[in-house]
Amino acid sequence: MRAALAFFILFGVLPLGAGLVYAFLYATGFIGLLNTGFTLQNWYNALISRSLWQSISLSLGISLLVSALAFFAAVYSWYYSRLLLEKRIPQALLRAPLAVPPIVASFVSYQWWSNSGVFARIFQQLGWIQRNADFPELVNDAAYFGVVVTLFYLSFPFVLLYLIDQARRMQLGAYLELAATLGASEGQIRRKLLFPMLFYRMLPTLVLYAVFLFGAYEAPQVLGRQSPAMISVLIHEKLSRYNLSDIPLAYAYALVYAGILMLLLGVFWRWNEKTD
Amino acid sequence: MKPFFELKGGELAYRAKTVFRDLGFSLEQGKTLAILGKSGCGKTSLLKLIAGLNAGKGQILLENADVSNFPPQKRGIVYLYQEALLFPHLNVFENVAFGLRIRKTPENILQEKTRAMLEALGLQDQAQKSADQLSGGQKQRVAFGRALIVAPKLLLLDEPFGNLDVETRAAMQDFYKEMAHKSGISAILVTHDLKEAIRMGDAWAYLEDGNLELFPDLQDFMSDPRTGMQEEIRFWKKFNQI
Repeated sequence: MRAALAFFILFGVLPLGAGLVYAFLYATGFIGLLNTGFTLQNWYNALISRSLWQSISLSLGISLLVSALAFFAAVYSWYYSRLLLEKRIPQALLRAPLAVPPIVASFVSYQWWSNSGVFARIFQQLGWIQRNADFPELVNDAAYFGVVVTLFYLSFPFVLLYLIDQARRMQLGAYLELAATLGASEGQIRRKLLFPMLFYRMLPTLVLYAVFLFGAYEAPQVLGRQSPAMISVLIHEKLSRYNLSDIPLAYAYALVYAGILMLLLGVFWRWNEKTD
Repeated sequence: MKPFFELKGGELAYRAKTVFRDLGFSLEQGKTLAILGKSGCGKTSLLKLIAGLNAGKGQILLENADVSNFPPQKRGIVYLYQEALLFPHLNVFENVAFGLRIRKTPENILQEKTRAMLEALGLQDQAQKSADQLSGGQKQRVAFGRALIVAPKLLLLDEPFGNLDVETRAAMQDFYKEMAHKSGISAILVTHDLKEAIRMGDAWAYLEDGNLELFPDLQDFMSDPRTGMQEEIRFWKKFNQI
């Protein structure tokens, strides 16, 4: 037990803590090539930066939307095809997308949804559009359609596989049968049992998954926009610029982002403990 | 006179294997038929056929109506599992009231009926608790209350006390008998526990290899060597001699 704790501190907490301290010192002017000493200017600039708050809001919105879509799709898929989903081959097929790296999925999405992509060509062949360029902008678009679709494609199998396992553990099928004999209609079963039972059961994992999506990088980088950009793209862009004076600001961005995530998670765990 | 409940030509196959065929029996109103059988003999499948929860065939007559083609929601038959299966996101009160809520019962009647049921169950002080704050016996009481509050025509009990310890199980069996007597419950109980069958049943049957044998009375049931009663008696006699 002690060895496991020491291992966790050494390889889990320490590197992360060191990284956060380094970022803090950099953002506060103590270290860094162009820094001249203690300053709160970077923090001030970060906190009043419109692009930072836009990026955080956008990332939060997309992560919540994709998590919700994946959850709803997984619940409906399980409900309507649970006998099929218990079988080996469908489960193996569901695991396949999990092996697709996000960068590959992003490029595949680009090939399908862009103006020069597969769908645009099909639409043109069918005579629904005159030119490729008439196809609506679905990648690098303002609505972030391409990013949402790609993250959904990557998330859905994971959420569904997790749901199948949870449904089996909690004997969900038996609950639904019982509710039917108590007189509940299909709609009532879905509304009053299926969704709430699975939601409360899966909520902690869904929240962690949304946090993971919050920091998604590859799909927003390939399929998103420069402005507003999702938070990981924004921070990476600031860090990798030639302008060295932007680096402390990038660290301040990163720490604000990390702080908001920690705050949100803290509030959630506290609420979760209370309701438990 | 037609029986209250009757199954005719009950048939079920699972993966090309016949579980039972041409199975039939009837039940008088207000009685509990206890069906004894070993694990895997098709007891649960038989109950699920009656409840409309599996793909079995057969004519099911309940109060002179043929409900064979009715969905589970419309049969007036409630199925109770071995586990209480209380809805984890609802408190005790809402669990018991579930059947009334989905029937859109007016709030004042719902409150009144649910409180009366909780009182009958001896759980009036537990109404606001969640399912995981209850003991095994209390959970089963809530499960019974949730079933009885919708006044089902027939209750199907699938080894409902199988997960309880011996003492709680005996208390729950007595509780069931009392409730069944008071409310005039008609029920079919399947169990592999001989004592449970004797304590809870008013009529008895034995299910083996897809065949159901009904016994005219308890004496006949206990005399059948398959029930294990004679073996039990011999064991205790031998034990007493030591």
